[in-house]
Amino acid sequence: MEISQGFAVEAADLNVRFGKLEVVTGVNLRVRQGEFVTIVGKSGCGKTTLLKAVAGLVKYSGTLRRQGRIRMVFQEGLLLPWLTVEKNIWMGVTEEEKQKGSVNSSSRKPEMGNSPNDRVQKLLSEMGIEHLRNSFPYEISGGEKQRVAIARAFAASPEIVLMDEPFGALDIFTRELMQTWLLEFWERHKVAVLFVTHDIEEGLILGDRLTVMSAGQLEPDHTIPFPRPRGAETKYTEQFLEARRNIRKQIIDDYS
Amino acid sequence: MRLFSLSVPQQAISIASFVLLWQMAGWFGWLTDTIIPAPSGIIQAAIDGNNKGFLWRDLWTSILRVFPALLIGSFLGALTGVVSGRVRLFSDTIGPVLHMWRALPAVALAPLFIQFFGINETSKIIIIASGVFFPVWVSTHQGAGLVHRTYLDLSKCYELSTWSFYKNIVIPSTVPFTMAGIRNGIAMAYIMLFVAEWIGASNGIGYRISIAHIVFRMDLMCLGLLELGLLAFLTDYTFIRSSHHFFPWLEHARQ
Repeated sequence: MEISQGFAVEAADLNVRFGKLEVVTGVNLRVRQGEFVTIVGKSGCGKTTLLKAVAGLVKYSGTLRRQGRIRMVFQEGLLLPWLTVEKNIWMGVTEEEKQKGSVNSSSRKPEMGNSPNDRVQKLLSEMGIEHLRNSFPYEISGGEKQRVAIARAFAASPEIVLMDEPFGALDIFTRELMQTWLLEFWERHKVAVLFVTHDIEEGLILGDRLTVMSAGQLEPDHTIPFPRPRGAETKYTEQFLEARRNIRKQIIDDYS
Repeated sequence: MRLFSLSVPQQAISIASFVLLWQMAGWFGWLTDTIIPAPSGIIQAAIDGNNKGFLWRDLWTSILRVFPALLIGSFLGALTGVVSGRVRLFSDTIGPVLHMWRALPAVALAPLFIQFFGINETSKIIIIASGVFFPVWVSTHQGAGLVHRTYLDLSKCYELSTWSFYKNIVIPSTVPFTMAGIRNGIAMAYIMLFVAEWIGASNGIGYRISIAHIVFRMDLMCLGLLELGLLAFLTDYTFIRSSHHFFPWLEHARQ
């Protein structure tokens, strides 16, 4: 069966089991094209496994339909330590496109075409990491690493990007910067994003919709009403704090 | 962390003092030339070897045996290790044979190789390379089988081709293991060099040591040992230094 018009991901009654352990149970999930959906839950609730199922990395039962190319940003960034920043991003380009050309920083032109190399160069400048192109991952900061990992995910112009707590290891200030920056970046690219986090605030500031996940199940979602573009001040409005309080209560109630 | 560490000049002092004590033992007449000469005796032997020309000839001959064998043994060991570490069919079929072979003392196989390939440079290089092959193969095999599981997810999600997967993920993440194997291989290479030259050569450092033994020239014998030791040390040192130059990420490769 075809995916419904306008949707990027559609999952119905999705289950993942590891042996006898049921990690994801009866998940129904729909993500529209260009929509930002966040999933919030405690550690071990099955969020990472759900993302992996959507990415096709673990076996699942149920129906899963996806429209377009899909890329995942992993929790630890997972850059290849032996490749420079530029070549790490180049790894994200599809194999067919890699064969057409190679990454070549010397061919930078003011007007960018749509060759894979132009795209990599454009991503480097959008991420503000042009000066790091020849650095190795061990030479750059945690925030920069995550930016490279995100650039790599976008290098093949995907339609769906799955993000597994990409800012989980960052300090709160860097994390806030990265959130603002990710929002700007996403508004330019408008891909469907499925973003998993344990941080309610992060889930609320980033998403169009937020869903709580607990014990392998997704709960009914919340539409997030705050107008875009959202800045750090949004987090301190009465309405935001109220939403945050409710979701926190929802998560805690699930476990009591 | 090391509690007491010495700088390089301080370490040199340690070696110099040892040599000095050894020399003093010679001056006091505690050493017998037929058992062990004083350092001055070894230096005299080196000067002698330089004048007669065999010193450099032996050294060069041995280097021309060890280095090609190291390259060949390391390359084949690494290649076999990557394949056997990743391809189940290969490790299940060829693996047992290699393991059985590996259990045999490499030194004891040298006569077999000579029987097979004859007494020539090729057989010597094969003897040495066979000693290098096994440690490199075993280490690389281990490393190739231990590729980080999330890297497998990464290559699947990013739809890497088989070639790209090996080139960008398997081989680089195996490099630290292969390097450890090659360091063992270097030590093995000099053992095998000595064996190859001992049983079937008319030149080279190993040959000089065995001849010196027969004629009770302990000074020449110690000179040969010194050459082997220095050569092995320098090979290892150069290997480590150059690999950190070529793979600057090596110390940071752990995820």
